[in-house]
Order: sequence, then C-alpha cells, then structure tokens
Amino acid sequence: MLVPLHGFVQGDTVGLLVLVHDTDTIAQLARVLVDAAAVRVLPAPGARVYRGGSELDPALTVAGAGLSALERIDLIPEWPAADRPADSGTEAGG
Amino acid sequence: MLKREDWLPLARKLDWEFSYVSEHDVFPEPVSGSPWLEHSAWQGWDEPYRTSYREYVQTQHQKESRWSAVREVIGRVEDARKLDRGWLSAVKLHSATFALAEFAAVVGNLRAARFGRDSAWRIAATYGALDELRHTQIPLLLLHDLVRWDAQFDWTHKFFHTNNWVAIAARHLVDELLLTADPIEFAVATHFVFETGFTNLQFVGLSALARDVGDRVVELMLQSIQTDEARHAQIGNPVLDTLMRHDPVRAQRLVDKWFWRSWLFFAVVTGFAMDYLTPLEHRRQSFKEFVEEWILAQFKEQLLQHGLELPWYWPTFLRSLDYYHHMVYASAYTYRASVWFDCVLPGPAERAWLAAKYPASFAEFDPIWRCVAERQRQAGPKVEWYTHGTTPVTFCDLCQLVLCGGTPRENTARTVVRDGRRYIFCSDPCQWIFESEPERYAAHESVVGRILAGKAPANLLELLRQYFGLHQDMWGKDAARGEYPWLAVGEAGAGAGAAPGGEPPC
Repeated sequence: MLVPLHGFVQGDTVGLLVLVHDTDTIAQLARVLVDAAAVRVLPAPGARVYRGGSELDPALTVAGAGLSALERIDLIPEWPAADRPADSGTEAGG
Repeated sequence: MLKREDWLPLARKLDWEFSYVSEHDVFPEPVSGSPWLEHSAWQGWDEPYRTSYREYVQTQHQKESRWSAVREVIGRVEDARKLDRGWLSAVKLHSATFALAEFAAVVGNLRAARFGRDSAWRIAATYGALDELRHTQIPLLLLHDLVRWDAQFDWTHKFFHTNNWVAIAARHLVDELLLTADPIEFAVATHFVFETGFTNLQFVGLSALARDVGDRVVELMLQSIQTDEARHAQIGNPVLDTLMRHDPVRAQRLVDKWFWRSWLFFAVVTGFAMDYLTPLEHRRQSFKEFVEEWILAQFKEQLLQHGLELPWYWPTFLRSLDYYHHMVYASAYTYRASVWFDCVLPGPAERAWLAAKYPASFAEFDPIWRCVAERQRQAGPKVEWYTHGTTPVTFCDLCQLVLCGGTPRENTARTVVRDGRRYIFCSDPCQWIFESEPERYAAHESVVGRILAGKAPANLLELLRQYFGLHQDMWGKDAARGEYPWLAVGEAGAGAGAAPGGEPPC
C-alpha cells in the first residue's frame, strides 16, 4: 500500500510529498527524500530519519515504524565531520 | 448657489429612521456584520476625504487621461521588449495576482455600499467599488497588448480561473477577504490591514522600482492605482474605531488574522520582485528594509493609536522577515515550471547583496543557491530540468501556499488530526487561524488532497499540464535560460570568494 508523507530535509526550503510503500524500509524512504531534495540540498553520505523528534530505525519498514498517511517526517543529512556545512545541525526537526 | 460646505454634509449623511420595517430587517446581521449595533453607534462615522461624486468623477477622469496618454506613447510591445526579463516576471506575477483580485474587491465594496451602517460609509464604499473596477481594467488593458508577444502575460486574466497552486492559494485568500466577508470584517481586513498596511508596500515600492528599471507605464499605473487606494483605505479607520468601542476582542482577532494572511501573500509577490526579480543595479532597498519602513515604522504605529496590541505572533512575523520569501523563492525557482513567470538564478553578486541585506539568515540560503548554480553550470545553457524538482511539494491547509515556514534548518510545519483527517500548517499563526474557525476552512482541499483523492495527477508533469493549466510555451523558465556570464567563469572568478560556512562543493 502506498503511504503519502510530508517530508522535510534539513537545509531545504520546502516540504515534499513523498509516496512510499508500507513495505519500504526507512533507509529507502531516506533515499527517496534525499533524491527529491537534491536540486537544492547536496546529497550527504548518510542521513537520519525522525518522526516527532524520535529517530526511526533505518531497518524498520514504513508499516513497522507505524507511519501513517500524511505524517510529518524529517531527514537530517549526515556529513563526515571534515565536510560538515557550518549550518547543518544534528537535532531532530518537527 | 450653495457653497460646497453647505450641502456636502447633508448629501453625505442621508440616513433616516425606518417606519415600515425595522433596522434589523434593512441591515440583517449576517450581511451587515457583527456586532450588530443601532445606527446611533455608527452615526459619527467619518473619513477625511469627504469627496462628492462630481469631484470623484473629475479626479478619476484626470487620472485616466494622464495614464492613457503615457500608455499610448510607450505602452507598446516594442517598449516592453527593452525591459529586463526579470523585471517583466515581477510584472507578470503582480498583475496576475492582483487584476481579478481587484474585481473581487468590487463585490466587497458593493456589499458595504448597501449594507454599511452609515450613509457616509456607503458613499465611500461606492467610490471604492468604482476604484476597484478601474484597477481591474487597467492591468487587463495594458498587458493584453503584450500577450501576442509573450503568452505568460495572458495569466493577467487567466490566473484566477485556473487550478494553478498559486491561484488556489490566492482564491482561498480572496474569496474570504473580498467576496464573503461582511462589511465590518471587510473594512478591517481589506481597508485597514490589507490596504493601509500592505498596499503602500506593494504599490509605492513597486512603482519606485518600475521607475528605476525604466518601466514608465507600470510606474504610472501603480501610482494612479495607489492614489485611489489611499482614499478608500480610509474606510477602515472609522469602522475599526467603532468596533474597538463595542467589541475590542473581535477587532484584535480580525487584525491578527488578516495581518498574517496578508503578510504571506505580500511577502511572495513583493518579496520576489524586490529581492530577486529586479536587476541588482536597480535595487535601492531590500524587501526587509522596505517592510521595516512601511510596516514596522508606520502601520505598527496605527495599530497602537487604535488601542490595538501587536498581533500575538509578532516575534514570528519579525523572524519571517529574514526567511519567508527566501524560502518560497528558492522553492519556486526549483519548481518554476509550476508558475507562469520566469525566475532569476541569483549569481555571486546578487548573493553577496542578499548576504549583506540579510546577515541573520542568508548564510542558510547560500549553500542552496550554490548547489542549484553548480547544477546549472553542469547542465549548460537552455537545460531546465537539471535544476528543477520532480517530486510534488506540499501545501499548508490554511494559506494553501507551499510549506515554507521557519528556516532551512527547522521548517515550522506541524500536523493536527481533526475528525479523522490529518491537516498540516506552515506556521503557528496559520494553525491558529484555522482552529479559530474550523467550520470555515476544514472542507477545503489542498493540492495534495486533490492528488490523493484522484482529482489531480500525482505525476508532476501531468499536474502542470492537466491541472495547473500550463504548457511548455508559457510555464516558468530560468529568465536567462541558464546563460549567466558568471556561470561560465565559475564562482571564484565571479568574485564569490570562499563558500560561506565551508560547505562541500555541490
């Protein structure tokens, strides 16, 4: 089943409508969001996904994480310390 | 013959006591507005212009003659061709969002011309309706001549009749503000907040820019309209005074609600024009500086004079001065095919200017523009898609604009579940406005709701073509088609210097 989510990438300017399958993993969801924002936000080597301030396990599925339609999720890009942009924080949004 | 001062007061104050019907029947509360008060509460209503109809017609005739003469001489396609493409985009954005909104304001003024509670108010509203009809016709006439040269100008008339996302947002605002508000809310929202607070910002600011870029016709058009606005905006003050005496809580709520709704709209239309679409050499002030001069220094004073407090979200508003229109513009640039005007990619010189004007915030936007610019450099001229998003964006369930609240570091969107439906809002004030009158807003479907309900395509290209009413010839593109001299020489060669914050190369 497709699950529409409001996705926000830290460093980006706008919310994105991402459609994922409930069987997709959080890691796959992260990749979808990174690609969707890549025009404005340089894709980072890693990323963490949050819902309501709580980090989601990348190995969980969308259904397993309990995500439902039109929830807000946040993605925080992770850079190696040497490459980290000055403005990128590490705390969860939302 | 009677002198003007002998007959005008009588002509303006033609109220009488009803004998066959009650005052309630003549002025029912649902269409006359709340709180419902006896006429005695309104009979001191006055405004400073006190124009007679004869004077109104004479003045308007002079304005029309002056503007028409200039238009006939320099309002042709060959004159428009000489203007900067970015500036023309500002004209397209402004004219599309305002021409038919002014027509909706005719309806709001006519409602007050019938149901306003004092005859002087009704007379002033009648002039207001005639003003707004003129403000509809002027841009339609001027820009229609340019359609055969550039189809994007057709959106001056077409915009409000489409399901373009900006049009959905604009209708959500205009339908409530101008078409459905009762005369009391209309006077506070439109005349006091929208016109007194923001129209100056819009028309004075843009007409000054028009002069600087050499667009004499648009300069005079905006000036001519602004003088009308300055007169009929005066309707707001005496209505607000009476409302403050009888229901100050409602007065404050209306001001708080409409200041925020107006602000978002103006930040997009005027913020884009002042900080991005006007060529750098013609910018004299940043959008923020202009807001500080016209709103923070002037409108704020008027609020306090009326005994009102600053809107409860004032700190949020002040913070948004540094962020909101930058958030929306970066989003719009990378979804420019979803709008009807071209967008300018800010180069190193423009970004240096923005960094100087917005020291508190622009460091968060610079990496975004560097990323977009690098992709444009890699793609080369005339390639649009590599700097364009393909995933649909999401929209606020109150203002219907894209979710661009807050900062790149922390977007302020929040979700709320109500009656089994999940809503999302871009900001605290939008959530507050919605939750203050949920029955008014809950049934409206955003673009996302329409996509999920199968009423609009989820595929972005099909969404643009089938639902937004755009096609490749008229949708927004990069204003220079990616041919910027600074892209060819690279950022360092163009004087950009080191990347702020030392961010990795895109």
